[in-house]
Amino acid sequence: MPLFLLPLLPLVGFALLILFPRLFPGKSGGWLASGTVLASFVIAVTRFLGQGDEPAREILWTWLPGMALNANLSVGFWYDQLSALMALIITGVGFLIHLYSVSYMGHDRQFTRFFAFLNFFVAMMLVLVLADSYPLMFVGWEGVGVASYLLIGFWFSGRNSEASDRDIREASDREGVANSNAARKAFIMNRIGDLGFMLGMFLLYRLYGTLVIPELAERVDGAQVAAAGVELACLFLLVGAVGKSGQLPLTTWLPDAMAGPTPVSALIHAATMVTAGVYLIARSHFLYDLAPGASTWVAWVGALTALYGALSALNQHDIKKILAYSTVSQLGYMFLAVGVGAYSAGVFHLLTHAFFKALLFLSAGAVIHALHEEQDVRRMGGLRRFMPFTHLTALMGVLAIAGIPVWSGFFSKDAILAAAFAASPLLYVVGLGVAFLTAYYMGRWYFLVWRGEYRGSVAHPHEADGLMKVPLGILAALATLAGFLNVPTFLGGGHAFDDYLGRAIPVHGHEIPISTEWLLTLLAVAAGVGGLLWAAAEHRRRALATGPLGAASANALYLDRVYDGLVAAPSRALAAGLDVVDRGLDGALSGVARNSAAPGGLFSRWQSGFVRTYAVSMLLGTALLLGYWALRTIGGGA
Amino acid sequence: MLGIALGIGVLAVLVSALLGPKKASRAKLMAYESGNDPEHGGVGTGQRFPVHFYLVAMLFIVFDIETAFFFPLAVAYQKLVPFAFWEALTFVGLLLVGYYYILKKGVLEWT
Amino acid sequence: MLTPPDVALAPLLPILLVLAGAVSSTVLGFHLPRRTLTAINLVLLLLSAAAMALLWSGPGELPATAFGGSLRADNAAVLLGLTIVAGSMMALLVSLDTAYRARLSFPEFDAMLMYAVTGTLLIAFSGDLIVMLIGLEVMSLASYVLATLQDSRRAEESGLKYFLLGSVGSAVLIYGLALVYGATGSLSYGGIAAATAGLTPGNLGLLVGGALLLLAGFGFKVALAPFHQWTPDVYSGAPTTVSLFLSTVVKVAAFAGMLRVFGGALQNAPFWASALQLLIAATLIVGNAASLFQTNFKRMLAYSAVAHTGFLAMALLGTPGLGGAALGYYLLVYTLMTGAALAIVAALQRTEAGMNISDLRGLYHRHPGYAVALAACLASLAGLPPFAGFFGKYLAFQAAFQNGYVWLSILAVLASVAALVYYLRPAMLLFMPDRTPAREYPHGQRPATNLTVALGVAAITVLGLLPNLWYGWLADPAIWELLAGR
Repeated sequence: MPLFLLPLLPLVGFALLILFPRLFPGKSGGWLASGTVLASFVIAVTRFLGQGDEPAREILWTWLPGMALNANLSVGFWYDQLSALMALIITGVGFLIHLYSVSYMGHDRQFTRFFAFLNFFVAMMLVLVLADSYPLMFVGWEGVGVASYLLIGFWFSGRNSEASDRDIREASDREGVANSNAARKAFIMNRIGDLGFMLGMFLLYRLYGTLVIPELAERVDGAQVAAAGVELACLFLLVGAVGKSGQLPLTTWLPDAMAGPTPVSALIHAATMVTAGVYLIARSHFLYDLAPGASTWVAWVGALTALYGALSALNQHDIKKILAYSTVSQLGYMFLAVGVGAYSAGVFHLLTHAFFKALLFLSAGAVIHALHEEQDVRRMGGLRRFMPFTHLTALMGVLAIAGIPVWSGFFSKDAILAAAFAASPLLYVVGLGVAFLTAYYMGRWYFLVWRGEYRGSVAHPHEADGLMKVPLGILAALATLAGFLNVPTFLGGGHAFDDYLGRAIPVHGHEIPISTEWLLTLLAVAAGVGGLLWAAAEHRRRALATGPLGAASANALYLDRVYDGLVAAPSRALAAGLDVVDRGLDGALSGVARNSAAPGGLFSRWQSGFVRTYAVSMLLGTALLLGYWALRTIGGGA
Repeated sequence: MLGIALGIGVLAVLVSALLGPKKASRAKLMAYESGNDPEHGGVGTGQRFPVHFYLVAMLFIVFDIETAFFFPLAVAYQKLVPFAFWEALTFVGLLLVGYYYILKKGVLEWT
Repeated sequence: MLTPPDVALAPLLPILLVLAGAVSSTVLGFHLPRRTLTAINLVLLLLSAAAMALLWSGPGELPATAFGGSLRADNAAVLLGLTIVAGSMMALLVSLDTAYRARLSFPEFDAMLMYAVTGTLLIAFSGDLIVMLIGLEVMSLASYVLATLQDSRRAEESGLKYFLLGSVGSAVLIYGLALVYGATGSLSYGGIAAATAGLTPGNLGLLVGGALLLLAGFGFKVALAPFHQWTPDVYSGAPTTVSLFLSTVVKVAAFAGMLRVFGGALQNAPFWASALQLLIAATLIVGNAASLFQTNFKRMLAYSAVAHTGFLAMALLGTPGLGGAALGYYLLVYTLMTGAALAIVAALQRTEAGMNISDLRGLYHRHPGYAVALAACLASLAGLPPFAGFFGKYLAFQAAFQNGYVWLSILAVLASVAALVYYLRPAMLLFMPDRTPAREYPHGQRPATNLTVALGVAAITVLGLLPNLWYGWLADPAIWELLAGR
């Protein structure tokens, strides 16, 4: 089956749902959307089963002139092991989350529109991972950004904007403003990342004369290109990846993005979109192999972000924020992995993380639903009695993320830590510390929500309904068992995953003695168990509500405030100052400047409305041009 | 070179500003209105001109220029190719369009 | 005996057809209703477009010329001319619905618009500086009148500002033209380009001075900072239909002139490019920063037009082959998206002051079609794929980047990030639920405007997905390397 069907089906679903919402009464829109993603999943599976060793390239139509080697750039899809895997994750996890949302969003007024956006996201994400050229990838890259923006701001007028009670409505309006701001922040931070992506593309085209990924991969070996150019291009691409994946320093939008509905957090801000940065670097591995400096940057960005996320998660009180910072931290792990050249380990963690983090978010969503939109973990507790099934699935997720043996996170994290150890002991120490912190804050999350006595206000929290249980169950099974896809050699496994992915991305084997590897594994397990035990001990002392690091952690190490001080505050002060000037002179101007009544801003001040000032600045501009030339001529000695 | 050029320019302005006699008289301080007395009967003193005055003035300029074009054409006509005739005819034709327009607009009716 | 100039009808035909429309509107206005005149003019514009399409010269063919090369109907002229016709038709179609409300429904509106189009086509087809100047003046004089035509204080102020500052701009431009002629002894683009190589240092100085003055003059016409200040006042003061015309067709023509002069005649002249990059940097900063603060939607679009001048002009910094094609593509896309956005404003505004951004709240629930179309236009203006605006920006940035203007490209990309903020704000408001009474004109949705908007939005979507439909015609570098002729 042709590849273009993969993104096309959800795109058709999106078009139908957004253009003819009235055709889909009740929940039929949700079923249609789930159906299209399921169909894509089926296609992805058949393609996967029929996949040979050779990657497939399917070209659709001519797109941009130039941009390829002596040819026009086409819209084409590229299907190798990496994109096959990503397509499976996106459609598979995507389908489960669609299914879950049919129940979760069942009472929302904008039910159909939600599924339209969700379908749009899936389509764009598939374009991103299947693209055979950087420009097409960029289209998907921007598309998922738009989808994420639309979905974070989905409740842009608050959840109760139509409520009859005035107070509720006003609270809802405030919530709406916060949601819209979160959406805008996410979009703009993403665009800063896109700037890097775009410049990276320009530079690559300049260096190699093509932007088609397979052509590039062939050319980089033979081409005589300055090493600094490749390093720079890789750094530009890193900026793009950092923006999309919420790495330092562009990380603050990701926790805010939790303003969106919980299925969105699970699908976009945990399982798929935010991993696009990791995908980009893994996809460009042939460039990063030539750029050791940029790779080191990737690794350190990842390690520091992992640490930052873990520290920030320690003392959060919002059930989703803890998971959000944990996502930041886990993405840091993946960057660390691809930064030290362990692409397979990074992508493997991407896979297991998609399972267990989606699972955790969906469990959290079930809790939020049961407690009528309560998100504060201090007002939960003891829920395992009310929601035994969800409790079990959430426990699987916690064990997986904490890296307890046989659960999937154990294998993937272990592979990353081993690779980090081989690359640099310092990176390893950071990684191990983060593993310990991860186990602690996830233990804290688990004990606060599920154990102890119930502290909530809703009388009888209800268990998730059948429709929500199905995805939870499947994801719990996957989170538990997916690790066996890649059992390392020293544990007697066949590392099937490494072999599979190795056909697309070379696996750099690291030389670590088996005894050392055993030691590393034991240390990692000890960190995981230790973290969980620490949380359990605190739970016993009933001291979990306030985590370590106090306000510093609760405020996410004040990063938001630092940005505010660096960027926002000075510009606000400037605007305020100009406003005063503006008002002071307003009276004098109002008679003449009727067309230029725009308030505020330095350039509107200059825009006084007087023809004579305009003429003066035109002539001054001309004089400056000539003067600049005169100076240059004199300076040049001509 | 540039320094000298700029220097002379600045110097000329400065010297005349510093050394020149400054005797203000009434006539000197009056706004210049192309020879009209700006205080009695000039623009902006409240005396009103009919709009037609300006329209006719503009039309005069247009047709004046027409004449200015035709005079050299007539003088050199013997030396010109037939093309010049057609060119002149096009010119007159376009002017006629304008003439028709002002005629229908009633610009030439002085009421 | 003097020799007659070579007059060829074919390359003149597109211009003559438009001029015929202008003249017939002048004369027939006393006898026919305006709608009939507009219909005639639309047909003539279509015929003119067809005449241009016939002038397309295939590979190896020499382009048609007239008056000894003073008028060049080469492929560049055809492509730019088609863009101009597209914008003019949008303006005329919108005027069918809105001119009556704007108190503009005179035959003079059509006549002046068609005169202006005649001028713009002359610029696109020009082969020497004099023809270019004549076209520029015809276009400018007609557009001054257009901006003033509505009987209101706002329009009068706008038109007078435009006229006064426009004459300063023209004066500077003519001065530059004289210096270039003085330096090279030629007025034709080809002659100037040929003469640049062997100039004495003294003449080279004259040439650079002239080029800079030309740059300042054109800078006024396309609204490059610091020559941009008339733009927001004039665009927001003029009736919206006129703003549509001024911000699309007139700008395209001015860019066509710049392309001819700087990409053709002066392509080997030193220094103007480095001066232009400073102007572009200033324009990007000023245009985008000022747009952020606007509360009136029409005025915001005016500032966004300034910002887009910066993006468009980046294409001039590319090598002629790459930059000309990028500019050609971006100009058409810019015309379509700006035209469609302003058409919606013209249809929905209550007064000619346009509407406030906050008035757009909940438009989706009242005029779903217009809201979706406006959102598409804003997304395209912001440069989001898959709309064509993205490729316009991409190609322009790429052209500048490949020619070594790295820091300017970075600045431009940053500026486009900032631009996102002010395009997104109204786009988001469109879909918000509204509890306030509608503040737009309730009966604004009419067939001709619908057609314009639908065509514009369809075109920016299709050109985004299949840019080659248009770019394929532009892509041949030979078109843009021979702007000055051989």
